[in-house]
Formats: sequence, structure tokens, C-alpha cells
Amino acid sequence: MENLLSIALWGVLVFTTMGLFFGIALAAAARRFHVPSNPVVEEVNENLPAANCGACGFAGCHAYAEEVVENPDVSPILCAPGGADVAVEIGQLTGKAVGEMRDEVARLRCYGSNNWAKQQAEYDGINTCVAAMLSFGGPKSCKFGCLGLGDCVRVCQFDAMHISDLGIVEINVKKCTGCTLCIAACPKDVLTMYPREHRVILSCLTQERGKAVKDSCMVGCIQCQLCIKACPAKAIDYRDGAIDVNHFTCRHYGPECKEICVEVCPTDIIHLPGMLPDPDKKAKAKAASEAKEAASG
Amino acid sequence: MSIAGIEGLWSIEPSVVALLVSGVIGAALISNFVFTKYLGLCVFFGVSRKRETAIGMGVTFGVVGVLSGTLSWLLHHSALEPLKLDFLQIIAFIGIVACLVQGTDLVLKKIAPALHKKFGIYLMLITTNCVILAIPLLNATAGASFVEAVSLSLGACLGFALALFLMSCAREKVDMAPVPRLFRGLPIAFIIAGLFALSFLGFSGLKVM
Repeated sequence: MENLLSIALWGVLVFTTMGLFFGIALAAAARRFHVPSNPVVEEVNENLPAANCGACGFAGCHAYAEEVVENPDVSPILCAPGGADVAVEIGQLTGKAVGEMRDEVARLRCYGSNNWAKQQAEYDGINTCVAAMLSFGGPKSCKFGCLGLGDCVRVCQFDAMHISDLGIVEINVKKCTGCTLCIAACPKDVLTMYPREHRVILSCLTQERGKAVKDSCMVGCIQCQLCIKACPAKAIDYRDGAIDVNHFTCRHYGPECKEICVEVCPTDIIHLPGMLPDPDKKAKAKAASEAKEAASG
Repeated sequence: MSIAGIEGLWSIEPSVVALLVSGVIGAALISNFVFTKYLGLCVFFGVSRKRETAIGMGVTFGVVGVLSGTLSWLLHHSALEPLKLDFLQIIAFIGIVACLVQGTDLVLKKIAPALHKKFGIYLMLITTNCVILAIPLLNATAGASFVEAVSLSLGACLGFALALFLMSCAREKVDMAPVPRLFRGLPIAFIIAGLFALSFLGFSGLKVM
């Protein structure tokens, strides 16, 4: 008992002495090596969302606050999670012009869910897209499709992504801040940034043609070019071997086109937000017209 | 060291310098903390992208490592061991390391703000770095003398700085090489670290004393 008491007493004494010694030494060092900080930097830092996501291109919110105050070339609109309010606040504090904000959200350019895209193998390895891709490009036949193992979900700090029942990523556009972390995390490059206000969604990234696409996915773009020919705004064209929509041109043209690209697309690859694909659209349309003809005749 | 002489065995005590040199070579090359013990990997991979930051971190790490190793040995032998407080050694050592890192942070912010900014979070990570904590713990468990403790601290920090420098040189070159996309960044860095570890295996044949 005495032994225990002595250990306890000495322990308290040793640690108190140690704490006092280091406390005084650190206080003296802090006084001697004090660096005055810019109060505007602290004020900007307090206005930032403290997400430390790196979307601004700097190592954390404090680093961005320092740069935006001290470097005249750093724009006040780089904080995507903060949005327009934070940009205006930073602009006022730093005296910089805010200009136009890039308000973008991430969108998945794939419809290849487990029931539409064919599997080339059963994957039983490490549960990440990067690891799966190392094994012959992943379990899906389409080498441009979403693997659905959630690398983007893991990096999203805003709970805007999850793997849906269909086996591909589903994005909650309301929660998406446009930080682009998911874009960098996706090994298939199947996520793209869209302007927040967009009229149509293009859900395929394939660079393959007709038969190869049909062999791997029932809702792949067969590159029939019907949408390119039909679009009155000339907003659809090829880029990097795949079909692509210029959303700025599309939105600028207005609703007069009545989304003709959605109408003509035989596989619903170009569709309205929230729409599900219908690979048998063409067959159903043919059957409906035949039934109509039979009824009238 | 024992030598057979005419009248039986002669025993020669190694000099302090010999002890120091052998300790440093042993900890830096033969049993390098990064390549043979896999310690301190977070800072090793985090700060080895650029040669400049690797050298800066190597020096900072060396200062903190040697100071904390020495202070911990002094505390252990003057207070913890005689007062039977050995069971609190991890807490005491972490306290010493944390205070030293905080002090280094203050000094570095004043005298080298650019380097301080480049280190970012990794400077604070030294506090919980396993190499820094392993040095006093190894000294305490092995019952090392003061010279042995200093040589192990110095050797471990030199070995870590050497590993950081070699890795930063390799990564600067690899950044410009056509590495397949999936291997870029940390995956290729781990492969390079593995190759370095294999080459450091060659030092295991080196016998000191």
C-alpha cells in the first residue's frame, strides 16, 4: 500500500514538474519567436466552410485564406463548397472583384447498371474501382462504364453520392458542391462536371461503335448521330472519340428545340434529369405505331 | 570485445567514438527504420515528393529525434526507472516529443516560414511518428547507455533523412516518366520503396564490431 502511494505521489510530482518545465519553456519560445499574423487572413478563414477539401487547389482552407489575401492573382471565387455567398464575403474582405461564379455539379456519364451492362467476369478482389480496373479493366464488359465500387463515394465529403440499387453511382445534385474530388478519384473518368442548370444529360462515354457497344451494354451510345443531326442549336458533337453535349450552347438556345435530341435517341442515352433508360424504346414505338395503324385500318 | 592472448583472454572496451560510429551505422544502414522496420511511413510518403521539402524535413526530424531521444533517456534514467514509474514511459515520451515538435514549429515559423508552410500538417505528424517514439522506447527496453542512446537517435534520424532524400530523388524522376495512370502517385511510390528496401537488404551483410 505504501509502495503504491509512493508511486502515485512521485508520478504526480514528476509529471507536474515536467509539465511546468515544458509549459514555461514553450511560453518563452512563443514570446521570443512570435510571428504577427494578418487579421484579414483569420477573418477570411473564419468565413470559409472548413471542409479542407482542396477544391480550391490549395492545401486546406487556411492555406487558401492566406493566398487569397496575400496574392493578388488568386481569385476569391475558388471555394466551391462555399458557393456565391462565401465568394462575395471574401471579395469584400480582400477588395477583389468577384466576377461570375462557376456553379457546377458532378454527373455520371453512364447508365450501365447491373441489369443493362454485361459482366465479363466475376470480380472478387479488393473492393475499390482502382483495384478492379487493374484486373482486366474491371468486371463489366464495357471499358468506359461505371464500376460501382464507390471510389468517388469514399472521397465525397458532402454525402452527395452513394451506390444505388442498380449498382452504379447516384448523385444528389442538391448536396453536390462541385468540389471535383470525385472527378479525380474516378479511374474510369466517367464523372463529368455539368453546369448546375442543365437541360439534358448525356449518359454514355463510350468510344466504341455500334456492334461492340451492343455486345457490352444494352443502353450504350451506338453513335448513330441522330442527335447531332437533329439538334437545332448544334450543341452536340464528337469530342475525344465520344459524343458530347455543349451545355452552354444547349441552355443558351432555349426550350424552342423541345429536347428533340431526347426524342430521337434510340437508347435514351440523352435524357432529361431523373429519367430512367428504356433500351426497347425503338421496338415499343414500332409496336405502338403498328397497333395504331391496325386500329385505324 | 575479447582477444585470445598468451595469458588467457584480454578484454578490450570499445571507445566512445567506436560505440557512436557503430551505433549510427547500425541504425542508419543495417536496420534502417523505414526500409527494414517499416516505421514512419506517413511522413515518409507525404514529404518525399520534392527534394527541397525532404531535406528540410530530414533536418527537422533529426533535431527533434536526437533531442527527444537524449531527453527521454535522461528522464528515464533519472526519474522513471528509480521511482518505478516505467509503466508511464510512453506518456512521458509522447509529452517530450510533443513539446519539442511544438517548439520546432514555433522556431521554424519564425526563421523559415516558406519551409514551415511546405511542411503543412506533416510537421505536427512528427508528434505521433513511430520512428520518433520508437527511439526512446528501444533505448529504454534495451537498457542502453547514454552514448548508445545518442548513437541510436542519431543513426535512426540519419537513416530516415537518407531514406527521405533517396525517395524524393526517385519520385522527382518518376513524376516525369510515363507511368501507367493507375500506378501514378502512391502506388508507384510504394513499389519504389520496396525496391529501396531490397537494396538496403545488402547492408545486412555489413557487420559492425
